[in-house]
Amino acid sequence: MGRYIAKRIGQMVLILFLISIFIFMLISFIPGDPVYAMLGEEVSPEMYAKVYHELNLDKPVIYRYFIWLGNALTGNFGQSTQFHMPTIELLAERMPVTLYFTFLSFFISIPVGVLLGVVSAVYRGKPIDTIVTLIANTTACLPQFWIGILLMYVFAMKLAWLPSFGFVWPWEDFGKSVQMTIMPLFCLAIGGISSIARQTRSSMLEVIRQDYIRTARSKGLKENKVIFIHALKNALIPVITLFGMRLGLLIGGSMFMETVFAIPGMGSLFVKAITSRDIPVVQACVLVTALIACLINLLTDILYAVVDPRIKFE
Amino acid sequence: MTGGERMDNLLELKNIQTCFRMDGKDVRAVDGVSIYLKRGEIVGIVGESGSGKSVTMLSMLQLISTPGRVAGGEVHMEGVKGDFFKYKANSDQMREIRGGKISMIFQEPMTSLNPVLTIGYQIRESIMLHLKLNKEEARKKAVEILKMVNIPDAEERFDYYPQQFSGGMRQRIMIAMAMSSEPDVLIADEATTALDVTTQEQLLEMIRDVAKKTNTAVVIVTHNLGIVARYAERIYVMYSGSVVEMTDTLRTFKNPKHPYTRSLLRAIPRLNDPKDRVLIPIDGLPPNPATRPEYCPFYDRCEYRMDKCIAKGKPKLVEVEPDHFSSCCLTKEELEQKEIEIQNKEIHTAPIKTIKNELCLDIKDIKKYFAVYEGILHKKVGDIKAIEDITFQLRKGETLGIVGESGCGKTTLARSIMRVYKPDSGQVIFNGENIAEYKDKELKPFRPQMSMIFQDPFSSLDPRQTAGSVVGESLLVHKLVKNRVEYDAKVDELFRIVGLDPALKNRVAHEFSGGQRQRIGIARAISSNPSLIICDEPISALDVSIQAQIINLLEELQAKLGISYLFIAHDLAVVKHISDRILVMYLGRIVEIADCLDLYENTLHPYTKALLSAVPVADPEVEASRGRVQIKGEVPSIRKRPAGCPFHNRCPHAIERCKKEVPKLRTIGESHQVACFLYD
Amino acid sequence: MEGKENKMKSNKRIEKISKFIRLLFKRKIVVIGVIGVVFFTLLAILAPILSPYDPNKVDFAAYLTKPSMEHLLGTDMHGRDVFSRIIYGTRVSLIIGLLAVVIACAIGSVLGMVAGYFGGIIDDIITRFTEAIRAIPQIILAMALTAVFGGGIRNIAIILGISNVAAYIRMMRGQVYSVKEADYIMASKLQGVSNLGIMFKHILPNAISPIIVLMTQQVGGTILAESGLSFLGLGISAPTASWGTMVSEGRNFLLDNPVISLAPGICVALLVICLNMFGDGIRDALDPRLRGEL
Repeated sequence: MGRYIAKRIGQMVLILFLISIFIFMLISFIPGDPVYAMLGEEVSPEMYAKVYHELNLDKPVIYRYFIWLGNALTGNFGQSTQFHMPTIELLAERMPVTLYFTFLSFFISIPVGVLLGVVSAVYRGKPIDTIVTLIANTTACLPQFWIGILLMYVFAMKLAWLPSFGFVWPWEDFGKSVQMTIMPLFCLAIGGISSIARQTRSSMLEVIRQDYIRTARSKGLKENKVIFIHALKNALIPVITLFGMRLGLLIGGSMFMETVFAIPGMGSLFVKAITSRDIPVVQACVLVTALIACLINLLTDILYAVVDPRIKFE
Repeated sequence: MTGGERMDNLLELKNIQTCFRMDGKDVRAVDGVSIYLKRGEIVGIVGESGSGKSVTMLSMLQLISTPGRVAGGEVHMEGVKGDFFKYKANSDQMREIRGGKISMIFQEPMTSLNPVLTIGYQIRESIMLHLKLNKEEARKKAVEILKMVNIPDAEERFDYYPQQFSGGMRQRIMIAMAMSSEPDVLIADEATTALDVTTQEQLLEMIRDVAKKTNTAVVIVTHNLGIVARYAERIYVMYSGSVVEMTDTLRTFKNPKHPYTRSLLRAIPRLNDPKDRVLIPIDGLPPNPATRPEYCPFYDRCEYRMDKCIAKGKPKLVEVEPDHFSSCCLTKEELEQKEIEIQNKEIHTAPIKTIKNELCLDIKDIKKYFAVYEGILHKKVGDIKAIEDITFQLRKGETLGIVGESGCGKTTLARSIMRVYKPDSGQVIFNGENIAEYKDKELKPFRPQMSMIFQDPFSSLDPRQTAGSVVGESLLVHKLVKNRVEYDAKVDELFRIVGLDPALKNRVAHEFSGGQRQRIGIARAISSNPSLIICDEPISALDVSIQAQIINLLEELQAKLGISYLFIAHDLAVVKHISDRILVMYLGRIVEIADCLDLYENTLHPYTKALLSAVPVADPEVEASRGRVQIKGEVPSIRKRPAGCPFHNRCPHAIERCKKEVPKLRTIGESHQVACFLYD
Repeated sequence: MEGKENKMKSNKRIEKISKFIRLLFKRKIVVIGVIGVVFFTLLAILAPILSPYDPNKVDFAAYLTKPSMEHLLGTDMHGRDVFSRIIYGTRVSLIIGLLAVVIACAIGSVLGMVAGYFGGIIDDIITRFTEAIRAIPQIILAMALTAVFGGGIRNIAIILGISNVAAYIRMMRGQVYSVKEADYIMASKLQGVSNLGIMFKHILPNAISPIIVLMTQQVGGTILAESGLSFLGLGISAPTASWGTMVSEGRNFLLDNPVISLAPGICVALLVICLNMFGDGIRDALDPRLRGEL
């Protein structure tokens, strides 16, 4: 088991390394001169040479990469060209907000999704299954940002029940925080609920067909026990794989959420950075996001090993 | 009959009917089956695929779910109020019966236990449910039962997971689980089919012992006539959803009254057959329940058929002798008359083949290890010693049978000879040339000369290719035909040789039955005019009544084309029938090689003796009079092969020397070789 | 003789196609999906004929009008007819959806096949590379690539194609691995068929159905991704009518004409739903179990 974890960590480091190379290489494809991009076209030759040297543009690529990497590992991503402050400070400000939404919706969608999935699997073919499957399939096809706009139109503009933008931490003003969080949270969670429900359903249906479920029934066990103890434990294993992916999608989805509802998180920062070609911020955001995604995958793999005895005793 | 009364019989099934909805139609898998069981009895239900034997048992326990449903019948049991079917499948009463009164164990030990729960948990929950004990008491009882089924270190292994046990042990755990709730009836549904022969014997013996001790009735559902000959007291023979014959074991084999039973006994090879016995297959295909006619379902394949069989409509089970039932409408006289006619028909003789003195294969000391890698850096941590010191010869036109249980290396051997693998050392001299070291390019001219027939008729044919192109592939690759016309003619001829209609050659694999697919596989194998064919368990996946067809076909082809066979199988009766010489393997080494008769009559190696003893013979009289060789333990995994003689830890004759040294093959007499220190 | 055989072959083919169509239309839902997809496709192809106005025609007089007889869905902030823009938007979505999926499939399948068939170090390299791509959330990867290479229909199609590649590599590799070990592959090898021959004659035909199913499933996802990118301003830029861009443009005018933002979203949803149902139908029609092949 320890070896398994060590192997996974090793793979993760390798992947992050590859990603960092990729990100670094990507930047070199951006058209235009980086010095001009920073200072504008009207710059004196001396200034140009000075900045050129400062940016290490006169050194070979590999050297530049390692300098960049070294900086990144110590948290120095340079200055944001947009906000003119250290990128790392920007991230420190924005990331908690995004993480707050991401994890909150993650932990809501899991139990709801699993329960719906189990119910629709057990009552396969009956009306409840049709309804749940229909809703799950439909919501998966709706663009997240559009759901946000629809909600905003209905609840904020037409009905004026909820504020249409802004963000406040729950400990600052609980009531207002809830009001502001409920719509974006819903948008984020709905995607997770529907995909977890669908995966749980198909996983349960697969498991219910297995021989050991027939054995459990032939022992005369109560159907509840068969479903929730014998079947569910097995069915959840492939669903756990989904968790890692889900989080990635949630982080992606948060960009839309934050844009629609004007929430000051990392997602909206990233979008603005791209439109204004704020390279340091773009690099930092991608790297941090990849890091979070990899960590989540690692945790998922470990969770796998804990839950599935087959891995422990391979 | 209201329940609770003392019945004559412990369990009675009356006229069970079970349907499956397929393509909008109702297909009757079980068509009016009635079975009874007395307390403490051991009853066998035999049948092939489509007979409905398993479905009947599942129907009784109401374990059939959509698209199937029980459409009629009654089940009564002593101690249960009323007919089973009056209760809903999920009702408290049915659940009490399941596990509490009737327990069932299934075929696949690898998938029948829940992989994420400990075995202790799975046994204990049954005990707690049916015997109403608390957690502690239930655990104690569970450990007791595990000890009873010979699981070592039961106390500790209570908390192990199923995948930490071997297949044989898992079946024993299943038995423990089934018996732990003290049922009145135990149903074993093909429970030993997936196990090694020696493990199978141990398990069946144990079931019998435990059942007799606790006076539990046992129903053995199987397709293996040997098993019921050895263990059952009474036998039901089923065909296409109905019972066709029922009587005690002796009479089932000695004087069967139904044509199906008679034909079946004529079609299966038996361990004690004389060498020249000819298998008489049952023509045609196994029945399709969707197209069952309104008259006797066996009519189309029956050699005893008469016009009145159709007129009489659906057959009924009738008592033709005291306690002997048959559903055949022929009278005793008509039956005997037909019997004489059949005996007098063309005398089937075994095809005559010639064995030349030249060698087709000369295998010298080949060895094949597989490296085991672990860790991110793929470091080699050890070897799986798949086969070692393999030496034998195969003459032209001869059939060499290779037998052994799991892990013996027979598949690795076959693949090494076919050069799917490259042997690590040794020589593979094929038709005079040593191909062991040849590269792929050098092997190309040898490819048409050797081919292989595979075990699984489903995975051995490309699901997307037509039968014709499967058979003709090698003709194109090796440029054995000059043009399209020749190609078509040759493909047609190959189809005819194996008994298939050439018009079928544009069909795809799934449109054929299992037996037909094997024929296609055989046609493919002979398409390049090989001198050697390796048959890797070619019939074990087929129905018993079809196996004889394929065996006969292989023998015919050998006599006609002079092909040499390496016949790998685990069914010793089949191997005895088809082979001239036999090679016995155990954990990667050869333990004995002998001429066919010599091996069976003058068995030398203790393992061979145990193996032969474990195979049940489809003849109850022979079974009753056989001595039995006890063998302990299970076949160890190839990764944990014992040092010295691989068999020493299970051998009743082991001495000190056996633990350290590996015995070499010695020749005793003319051509009998054995690797055992007993004969040094 | 020849003619009869050819006739049998073409009969066989017709039989196969009709069986496929029969299975495809077995479920009502799938029929609806197929009709929907056909409808949208026609919409895209016949856009110039079907749309009442030029989607880019600016008309300041008709600024932000609500739906009326003249403008079925009203006009936007530049006076352009929303209904026409929606019809033309179909083109953008479908073209990008199809193109991206074809690109992803082509690259991914080849890489997956190579990885699966040859195994060993080649497999390791390709797998590591795939995992690295998968580690970055798709949308972020697409956004980063857009930041560097810019938007536009062609670029977005390529970018979304690349960000989808991983699924095909894994699928094809998995298929190859499972088919590789089958007895019939060994049988062909023993008959002397070359590696390339085995890949094309045996492995590819068997691996293709799940790939086709994956493709149909992914078109919907790609369309969603494109609309998201456009919404953020990174994908298709004004004035081209893309549904995502329209939602974004209409955000500030929800009270004036909510249809500008809401209608395109509904269209995306409908198109994706129909594509998914179509994909489900294809999956069932190709499923060997349902065809009685197993």
